[in-house]
Amino acid sequence: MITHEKSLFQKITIPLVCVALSIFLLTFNIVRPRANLLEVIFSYLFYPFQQSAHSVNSVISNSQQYLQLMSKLRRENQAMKKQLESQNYEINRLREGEAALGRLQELLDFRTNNPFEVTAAQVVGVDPSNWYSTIVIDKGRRDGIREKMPVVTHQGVVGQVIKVRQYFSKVLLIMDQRSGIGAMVRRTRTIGVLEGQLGKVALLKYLAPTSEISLNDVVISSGLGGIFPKGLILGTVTRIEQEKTGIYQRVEVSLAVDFARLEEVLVIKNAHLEEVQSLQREED
Amino acid sequence: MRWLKIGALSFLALLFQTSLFGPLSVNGIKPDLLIILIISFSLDQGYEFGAVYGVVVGICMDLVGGGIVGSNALAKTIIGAGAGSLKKLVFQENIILKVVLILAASIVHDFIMYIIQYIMRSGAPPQSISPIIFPAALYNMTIAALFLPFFYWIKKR
Repeated sequence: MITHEKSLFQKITIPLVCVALSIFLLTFNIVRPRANLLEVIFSYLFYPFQQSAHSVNSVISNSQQYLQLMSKLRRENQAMKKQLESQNYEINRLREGEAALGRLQELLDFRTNNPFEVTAAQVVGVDPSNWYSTIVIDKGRRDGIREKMPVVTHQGVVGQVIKVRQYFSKVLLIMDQRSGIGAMVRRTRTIGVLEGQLGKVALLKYLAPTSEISLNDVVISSGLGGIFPKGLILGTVTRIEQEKTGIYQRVEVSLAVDFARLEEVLVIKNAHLEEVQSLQREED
Repeated sequence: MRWLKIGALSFLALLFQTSLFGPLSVNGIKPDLLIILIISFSLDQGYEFGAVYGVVVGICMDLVGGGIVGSNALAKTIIGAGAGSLKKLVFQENIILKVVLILAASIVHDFIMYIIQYIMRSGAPPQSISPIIFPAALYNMTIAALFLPFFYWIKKR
């Protein structure tokens, strides 16, 4: 029987094709960053499963809380076990409802206290990679969502919509390294750019060494950049250092939003209402 | 049938990662189950399988997420082909060595991701290497150490 030993070229053909395909896809990000038919189709196919898994997730997380409470009650009173089990379930259910009500009340307060037209959305998915910080929300084009709309909670800015489909959208979080927001120190009105660092802390860049800034200063959106309206809370200053070059200060900002517990968000549909109104007033 | 099993397992892992790992993330770092699957399957099947499996899984991950399309594909192709090329050197039952390889592959994978980020956005901040790469690699290794024995026990039966 004759066996054919593969040549080096034959051996590396398949891995090379795979690497070339990946690099080809990478170049698409530069040449045509928005148009990606494959991404659109895949997202649509995957979304229903993602949404179902989100429901399973809620059930699991409710069950976890339920089991924790169960064990506590068992220790406290063995004799009342059966009665407490049913009560515990009810308490858990009510607590969940109360927590949801609290969250929704805070969102409602934001809605009432701000002039923006907002749409509430649920977070149904997160980015599978540790290198990107994006989320999927359950509102899309049919709900009036468009690209570059700001996304917030009562705590502060969450991010901006980067991709919109019919029934869902993808949001780039402000903690993503690709995110940069026009920011301002609320007390001193010093302007800079807040860049994500893939963690709870972001960097406030381009602040002159003479800029007056101190720890615990609140950082808000400056309104510059055309996406986020002025005055939305971004975070608080936690560290100030002089950059090695000496040109700028290096300021670390602890982000206001708790991204680990993000369940509901608001999408601002008319972020530049004030600008439009002032332009209208000027015209009048 | 084997392809169907691998496909179903990969799909479930991707679904887990996009939906169910929020509560399991530690300091915002979540495990990458697909790296564990790529290394496990590639060590069994060889480098050609590793490259193809890596590129397919990576593209799916890129398309589901909101990151740079092609980045996961490239990183996972390289670790898949790399692990597959060690097929003849690694005894299939040696779980400890596989776990160590998963740790190494996670570090290589995230380093490639970092380089891609650096090139694509003209310079990622250098301090973002250690807070992601090493905790994520340790997390992947822990998950692998817990589940690989179970995985091979099922395979044997």
